Amino acid sequence: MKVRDHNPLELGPFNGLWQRGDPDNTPLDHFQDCQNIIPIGYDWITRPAIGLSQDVTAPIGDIKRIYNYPTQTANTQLILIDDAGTGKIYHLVNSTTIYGPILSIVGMTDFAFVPYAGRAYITPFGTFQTGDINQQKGLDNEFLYVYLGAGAAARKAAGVGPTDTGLTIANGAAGHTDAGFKLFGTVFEYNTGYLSPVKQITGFSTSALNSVSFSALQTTGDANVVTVHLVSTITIPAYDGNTTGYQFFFIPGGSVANGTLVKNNLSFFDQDLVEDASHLLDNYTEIPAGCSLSIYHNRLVLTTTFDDISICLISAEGEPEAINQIDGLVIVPPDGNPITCTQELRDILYVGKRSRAVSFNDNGDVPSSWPMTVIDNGLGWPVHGIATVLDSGAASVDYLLVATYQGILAFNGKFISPELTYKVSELWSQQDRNQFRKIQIVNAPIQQHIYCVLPDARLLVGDYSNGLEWKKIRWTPYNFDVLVNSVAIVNIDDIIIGADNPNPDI
Amino acid sequence: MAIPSTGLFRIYPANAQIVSGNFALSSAPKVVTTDVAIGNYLRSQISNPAISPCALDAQEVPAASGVFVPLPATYELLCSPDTTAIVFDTTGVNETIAFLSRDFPTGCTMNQMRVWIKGSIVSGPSRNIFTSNVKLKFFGSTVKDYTPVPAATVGFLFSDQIITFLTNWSPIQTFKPFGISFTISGTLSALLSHPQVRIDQFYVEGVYNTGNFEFTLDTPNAGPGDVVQITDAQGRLDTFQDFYVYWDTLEGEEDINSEIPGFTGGIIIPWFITRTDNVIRFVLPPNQGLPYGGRRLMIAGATDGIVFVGQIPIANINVLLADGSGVYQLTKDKRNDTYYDRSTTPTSEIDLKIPDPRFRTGYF
Repeated sequence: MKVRDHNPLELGPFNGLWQRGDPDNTPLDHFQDCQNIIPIGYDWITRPAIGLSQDVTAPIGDIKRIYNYPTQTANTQLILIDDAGTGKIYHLVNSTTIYGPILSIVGMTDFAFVPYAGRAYITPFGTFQTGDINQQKGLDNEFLYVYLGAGAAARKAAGVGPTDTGLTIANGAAGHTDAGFKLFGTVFEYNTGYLSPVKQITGFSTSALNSVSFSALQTTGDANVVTVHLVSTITIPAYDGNTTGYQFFFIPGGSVANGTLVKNNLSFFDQDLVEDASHLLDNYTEIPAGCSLSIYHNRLVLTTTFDDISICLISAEGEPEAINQIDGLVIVPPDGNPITCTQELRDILYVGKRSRAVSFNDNGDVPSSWPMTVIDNGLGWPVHGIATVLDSGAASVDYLLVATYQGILAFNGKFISPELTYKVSELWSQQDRNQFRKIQIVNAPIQQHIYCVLPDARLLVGDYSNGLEWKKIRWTPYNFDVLVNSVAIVNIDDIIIGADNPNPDI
Repeated sequence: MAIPSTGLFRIYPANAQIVSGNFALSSAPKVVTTDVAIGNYLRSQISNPAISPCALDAQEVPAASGVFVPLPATYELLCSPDTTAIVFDTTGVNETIAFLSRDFPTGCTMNQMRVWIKGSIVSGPSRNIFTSNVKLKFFGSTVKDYTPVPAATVGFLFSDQIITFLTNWSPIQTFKPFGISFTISGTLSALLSHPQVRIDQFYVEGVYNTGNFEFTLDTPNAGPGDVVQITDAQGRLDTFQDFYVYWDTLEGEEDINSEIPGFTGGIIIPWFITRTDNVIRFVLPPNQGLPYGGRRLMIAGATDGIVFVGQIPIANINVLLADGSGVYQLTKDKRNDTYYDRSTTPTSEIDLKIPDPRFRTGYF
């Protein structure tokens, strides 16, 4: 047969890595093996290189976790490093400015984070072995912390409130109240807006033609307390001695700066008491550490404390530190597996375990009354297994990208099969499931890339410029001369990589 | 042609055809590339004919007694292309120099790995390096204790003893960085600063398991009595212990002995007309009642493990930086990676090439 009779065979275009069983079964338009390349249109080029993110004399190392932290003025990062067994969190503002450590905790090998109103809520967690399975949960005797973003150390969220001494109450100058017995108390307001439980509950019978004067208000040297509020019940016809059995309200005009011991001549009628303060009575004064944080309907959601691995603690709406100990929680039926992380999507709170997913729907009442729906009894996700989008730290608008044991899947209320990593299912199945906590995913819709940190310390990159479906997505692994264990996205499309010390055991 | 005293023997038709083809590994190994980063010293040692290998002298072969198997004389050490040693400065006591490697073939299970390092610790003249308690350790385990240190030691040789036998890799270690590290610990003389560790030769040998290697014959109608010839210009055919022949399973038929999907059979080749590192010739055996003729044949080479050494092409070994940890950023249009170099004070930066950008398609 003459050469001129041969039909030419055009090579390409190639659609990324194919790793499913026998390499001989690789489709001719895929790679049997590839690394460190990226598609540009229908061509492939060497991946972009990495450069230094810090331009300082002593850059931080031993990176364990990076989060994008959007403050009120800039897009910054929170970074956890390991310093001889002590986890230290730094606030990286830009290439030349770093604050911290803002939090140092022995044994903190990872942390959860959620931004709220420019503040950072941080909870330390670690990995504990149960049988052959590694589980992530909040550190024992540790708590939720809040960081204001200006460089001062993070402090424990919530607060104990006033010392429970008695108030001194007397009739004031000529004024008005509804005559009769009432209970009065004080509430501390912290610089994050947190309101403490009601303390200094003291009874007093007011007079119709007199105002009320208070003294012996508690004060504190804690600079985080900014305001002291006075609260009162309405007139109690027959007091039964139960100081916490009545509804408290904030007294209009009854606030003073921390350090002020006296408030005189307050006049109010019962009908003026409209702003409820009773929900503060049973709040946590210090919130136990968990392994995940998210925001749902303007409420903070914290899961998996050291003692309760199947519980989500949920705050009051608009008050991320106000978590009621009685009704501020939801329970996923215990099965021995801890909750990994949660995410809001289309007004539903999705709660995951490593191989299970359920949902809760806010019915307008307290969280403990929210109905639960089982989404899937076979698929779940690890602690960092839900992709963040751009630099918002949140999920996409109408779908999530989640990492399951099956692979990376799109989730819109149910898991969409087949998985996006169908073509590289063998690469995914080779990952150590006990190290799935190392998986962290970002979705960069500007570049139309998915970046996934694998347990084997490589970066799996998916290009979905041809479509976000398993047939069209093009996968390629990135290797570096360092071990990648964290990825974040800042300033819309800058990909930040955290590298760990490669030889901690050597 | 020597006829073996045992094995299969038949008279074949005189018009038996010769079937030949080139051997191609289904999982093609790659050329070894080792980028050794030692402190602030980076070398690229690429296994290719351009580098003159250093022959292993007979005296340097480990003794047959003990736990180590002598190296065959055909194996060679890999040396630096233009210097005789890799030298790096240390601060002295308890310095750890780490070589890490990964990127072994997918599914590969390391059985064992042996390391030879020949070198010395040097300092200025007429100075004792260590005054006491000198130990050489691999992965924290002492392999040689030189206490007490010979007096007035100027150069400190460890060429004769730096051998360790690393076995029993657990599966999780295939995903963790693993490799070779040695620690030189001891009490420094007060007069000494910055002793140098010098590595003259660095050599790795190990065994890992892989699957079978398969070769499909070009001639689809080969049958019993035909001679099959397989060639490999790189001389790798001696690594296989046995060869088997399989037949293509047609549509509707059931795979028999279905180790290879889509093929049936699995008859071992009992003897060879020619068997060298580069050429194998054998006669296709009778099919023992199995379907034959008009079908593709597959010849599979089986081995219990591939022995690799520094110069035989194997999977890519990527040696990592000793400590390049830090925060990095992917930068568009940047053509080389830049890492933190924490071996210097203050921390500096080092530029390295992007590790082996590559792809392999299904086309031959």
